Amino acid sequence: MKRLYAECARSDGRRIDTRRLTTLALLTAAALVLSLVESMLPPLLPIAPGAKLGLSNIAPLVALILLGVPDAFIVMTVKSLLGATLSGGLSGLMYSLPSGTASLAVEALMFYLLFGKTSLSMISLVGAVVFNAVQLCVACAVTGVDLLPLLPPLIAAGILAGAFTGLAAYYIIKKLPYTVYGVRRRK
Amino acid sequence: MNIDAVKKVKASKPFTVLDAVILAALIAAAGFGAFFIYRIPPAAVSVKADGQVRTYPLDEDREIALGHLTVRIEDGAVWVEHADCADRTCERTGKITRAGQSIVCLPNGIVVKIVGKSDLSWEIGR
Repeated sequence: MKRLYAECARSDGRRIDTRRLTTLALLTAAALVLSLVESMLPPLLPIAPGAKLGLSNIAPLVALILLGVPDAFIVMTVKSLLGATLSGGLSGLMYSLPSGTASLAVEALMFYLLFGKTSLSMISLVGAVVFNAVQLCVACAVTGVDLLPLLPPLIAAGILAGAFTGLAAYYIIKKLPYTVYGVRRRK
Repeated sequence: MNIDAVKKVKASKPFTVLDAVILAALIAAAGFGAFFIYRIPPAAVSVKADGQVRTYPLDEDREIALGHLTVRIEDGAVWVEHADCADRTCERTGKITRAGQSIVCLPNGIVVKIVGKSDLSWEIGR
């Protein structure tokens, strides 16, 4: 917990340097492209409408590791805002922003408290389940319809999708060489 | 760039023991929730006797005399009393409370069944 505070304070008071800015921009752009590509794919599970793979959630997770908590929230928020604008209709924001915030908060907590004991894929998995659950709650509140029967299939979909995106983020970070992260190779 | 975090991720494994524990807990919670969410709430008692089906509300206490036996509805439970048949299986079935449960008296062709809310419109419509 102390490390989480320290990390927040550190990256918050930090100057915006070029590397951080470009990484933020790159991750946000990647998230947007991923969500656009994903919207072209057919629905994954016919039993759970609205269940998506959530490929674009790789970006905030990678940002959480590379840049820290505040920057991960920046990527997530900008992704939601621009994604809603691009897909037309800001009503999607109502669903994506609260659930994105909640799931990223859970992921950040897990990363700083449990990572090492749990893997990155499990952090992403729990985040995806939280995402789906919050989204369903918002849908319940907005439509006023009891959507609780959709919760178990959505949790199952979140488990599958979260594990997949978490593994993707894990292998991206694992396989990229250190030079990409700005570490000079020692001779 | 948070190089320490990157190093930590690079050193981590794709799956750990705690993963399995959390996953099992999640699936158990979802399954437990599904059990309660998908359970049909009991709403009414459908009684089939002499080829006729009658439906009675479950939340009103009453006694239904059918000649061969008496069906009692009390406190959301249903049971059969005073059966005049030889085997008295219906009496021995005891109290039923959940949707889908039934009491059958084969010799007299009587079926007492608790139906759920979603079944009700179908029962009335017949």
